[in-house]
Amino acid sequence: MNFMNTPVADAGAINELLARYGVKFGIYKNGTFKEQLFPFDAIPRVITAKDFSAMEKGLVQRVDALNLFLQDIYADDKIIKDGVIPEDFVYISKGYLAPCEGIKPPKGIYSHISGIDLVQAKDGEWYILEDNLRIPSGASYPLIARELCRMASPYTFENSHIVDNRNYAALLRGVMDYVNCGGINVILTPGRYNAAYFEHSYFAEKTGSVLVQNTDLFVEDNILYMKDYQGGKTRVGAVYRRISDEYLDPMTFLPESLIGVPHIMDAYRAGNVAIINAPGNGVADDKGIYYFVPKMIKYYLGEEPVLKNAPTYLPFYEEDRKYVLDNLETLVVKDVSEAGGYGVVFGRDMTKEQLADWRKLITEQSRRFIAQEVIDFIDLPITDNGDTVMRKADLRAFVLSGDKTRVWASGLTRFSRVADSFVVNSSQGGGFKDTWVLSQD
Amino acid sequence: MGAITRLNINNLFWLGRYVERVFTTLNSFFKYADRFIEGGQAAYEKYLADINVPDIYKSSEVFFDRYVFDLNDENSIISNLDRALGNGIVLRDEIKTPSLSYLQLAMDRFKACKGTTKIRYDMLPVRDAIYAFWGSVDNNMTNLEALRIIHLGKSVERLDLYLRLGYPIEDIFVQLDNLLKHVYRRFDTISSIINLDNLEALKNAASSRADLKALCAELLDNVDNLVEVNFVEAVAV
Repeated sequence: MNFMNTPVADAGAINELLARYGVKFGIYKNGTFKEQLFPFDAIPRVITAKDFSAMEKGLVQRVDALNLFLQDIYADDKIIKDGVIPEDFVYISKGYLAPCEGIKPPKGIYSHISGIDLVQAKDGEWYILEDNLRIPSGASYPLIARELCRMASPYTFENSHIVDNRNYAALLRGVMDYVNCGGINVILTPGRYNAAYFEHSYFAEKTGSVLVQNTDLFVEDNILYMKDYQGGKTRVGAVYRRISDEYLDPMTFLPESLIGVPHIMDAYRAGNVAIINAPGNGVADDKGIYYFVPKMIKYYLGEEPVLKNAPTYLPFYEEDRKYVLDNLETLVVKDVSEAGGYGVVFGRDMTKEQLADWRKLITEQSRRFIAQEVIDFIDLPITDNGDTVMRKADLRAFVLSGDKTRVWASGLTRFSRVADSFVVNSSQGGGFKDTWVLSQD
Repeated sequence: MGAITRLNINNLFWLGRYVERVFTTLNSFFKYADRFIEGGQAAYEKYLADINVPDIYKSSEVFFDRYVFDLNDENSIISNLDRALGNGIVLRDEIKTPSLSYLQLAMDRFKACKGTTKIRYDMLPVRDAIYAFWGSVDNNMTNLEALRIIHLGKSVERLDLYLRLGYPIEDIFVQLDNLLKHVYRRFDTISSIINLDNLEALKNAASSRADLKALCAELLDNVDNLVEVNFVEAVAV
């Protein structure tokens, strides 16, 4: 059966269900918070069992290496001492947090939930575009979408051999329980007006965690507690925090943070609470560090990388800088400190003046940028006003690390709604589709 | 029983109040709309006075539209539904997704009714969704303490509105009993604040509507104080 152009059901029915179930994301435009539906396309992305098997191996390998890298960087720095990664790329990274030096997180896991962005080239090869090891979001959308698709079109799933992906919350709960240091699991949200609030509340419901804000938590004698409305307190053993590192603890990081929990880092340092994902992970998903991940895999695991990086150049290195300046017209340049599709520019879209400006900027701030070959990744069919059109799409795979490292047999396929655009981010108008992993080819 | 955070407690109470406010004011509005059929100028002014809403409408036609459908009118029924939904959204983990979906469904159906010429018929799905919401919270919520607080809010709101809207004494007695039941369950220390024996005796002795209103007013005031102390101040700490 050719699934590629087969909608699950009419998109209208599923979008109606998504609206009814409050599947939205928030966005700030001109200083005003708005919630909007995440546009869903009913034609699924299909990944064959063979492709997924290879991808799974590559993702487990990559995330295991990244976890070993984090363990190393905040302890012994062997990879630097052995000359595999220059220290410049580690210690000047915005994601490197000196206060995390010497802290061993519960069970030694740093990246519990890793969101790895991939694209498939037209020759079928999958390339890693980006690692997200801080607070990767998005798993809730395909999770609830599958549930609603099965509701709207049960027969589609009857004989299609599609792996049931509705185990994500159980996998997440398993990770939380595994690293829990004694006490309840909570999900720490910055609040109702966060872009991913739907996801925070949905995962709290599905994992049986308590959804909390910072004012619900306090630290006493290096132990984290949740206070209830009657003045009681309950020990917290694991915090799936959905706020950024710098806002997590005003006593350790940004003192002006109003959404953090004072002294939570003390409780964490004392080994009394697990923080999911560990603070300081940004050093490993820095776009500059990305270049070195294949080297990490060889260094820590003694294996050849299963999945390839997109061909990447670091203007920091003279040779690479020369190549980038000479070939800027054909490359995509990324600001290493930006995320969400921001700070990404394509040389082919620049005027002569802009190219000259960018060459100057790259020369002056060579550590700030990476440049990559533009991968001509495959277009996927989407339905647009009743017509089927082809649009660029990527895949965020979710890898969960607990008692072992597991890849969720699904993922978030995001697509651009603009013809020829490579920008698929929801914050910039992209949509999403269900991702089917087949159990047999 | 799961722990309830201090931020959630206020949302739970007001979720119950707002959902009930939508339901009862909608029913009450339907009675008004029914009287409107024969073309008589129904006394919407009295209705507004009863529920303590200022008359900004100046005509039945404007009242009919804005009081029901105008999200920018803070007293409109739809704006109360919007507040119910707002409280529900931050309580997804407590009330569960199916319950929240019924509030969203109520809102979607409500909005679709704007401009209707047969409001009582077209609004039936809104009432259905609210009934379903109550069934869903009763069936799906696992934190019984949280569930009781939603019902306490519902009960307070219903008694308050029944008194204001001139419901029959028998109906008010039923709601009074309901509220007492919820208060008993919720507040262990109630007897130190309200003399319940005295209240029961008063209830039994209440022979006129005025007596009953005074009695209920006393109870609602006391519940308001309890809520203020237990919920609002707890959140403000």
